[in-house]
Amino acid sequence: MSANPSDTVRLTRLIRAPREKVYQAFVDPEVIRRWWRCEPDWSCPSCAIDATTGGAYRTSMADPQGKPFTVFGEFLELDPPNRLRFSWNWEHAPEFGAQSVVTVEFYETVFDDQPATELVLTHERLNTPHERSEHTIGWMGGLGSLAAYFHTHTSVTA
Amino acid sequence: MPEVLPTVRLNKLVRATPQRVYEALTTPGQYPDWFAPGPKENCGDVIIEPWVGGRFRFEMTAGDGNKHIGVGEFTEVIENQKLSYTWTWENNPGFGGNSQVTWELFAADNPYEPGEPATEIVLTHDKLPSAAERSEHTGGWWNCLRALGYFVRGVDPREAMFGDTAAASS
Repeated sequence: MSANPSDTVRLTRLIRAPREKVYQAFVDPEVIRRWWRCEPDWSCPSCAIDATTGGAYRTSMADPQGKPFTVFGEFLELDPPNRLRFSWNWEHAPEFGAQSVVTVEFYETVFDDQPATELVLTHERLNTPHERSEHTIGWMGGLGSLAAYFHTHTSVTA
Repeated sequence: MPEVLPTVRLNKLVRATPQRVYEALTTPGQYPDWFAPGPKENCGDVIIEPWVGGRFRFEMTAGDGNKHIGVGEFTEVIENQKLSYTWTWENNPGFGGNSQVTWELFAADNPYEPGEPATEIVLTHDKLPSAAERSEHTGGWWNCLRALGYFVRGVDPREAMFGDTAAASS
């Protein structure tokens, strides 16, 4: 009999931008609003961030009908451009993945001879299969959106 | 420079029993429905010998018409619970060659239809040494898992994922 599955979702994604810029895409509200969504036709109507250790964040995404799905929490660690760690809660579903913890790591790599970033996202303390599966769906969409944002903004200079 | 773990892992909750999921994973005739699906991608001949030392082999046609062949050998088989096999692209052995794929199936509560069966699938692809290998295999497996989730509950994956046109032409 296998042991229980881990309470952790861990995803990796290659992003065509240097890691300083990818890190910034997690702490700059103006950039977050351009990509924070789990489906291409969703939007990010609001984002407020105090990017300091212990600082709070609150970010909403909205479906095409405008229904908001808001996450909030606080920063546990900021180590630009290497690593970010923050707590995670949903306003509309307070029990779903409550006080789980997200760690985002940014590793330098090269793709098509250009500086690129391997992003490793770890979402811990997801206690049920439903929480793990839904957050995998959401992050796969979210990281796809982030990759698309940089793919279409590769000519933007620093 | 710290090293990144050479591992991709994906979780997916599907609405079917572990037995049903295991059947889809070990029945060659079911692979074209869920394995490497795309609007233009198709899975061709499949060999599954689900015992230790048995072969795993599939052919798929990519959107550009090129054929890709994946080969491997089963290293662990526990009926309805676990499958593990080696993985190499025959025509591109430098890309993820001799990596390791493991499927684990866990019976789970069904949050969508309480009382009905569900399975948490944990798919691990290990020994992928580069960022490109990890990123590409993540995307490919995610499509497979989404399609498998539809397939085992009796929904046509191509229709659900790519719309009527793709389903009609596949």
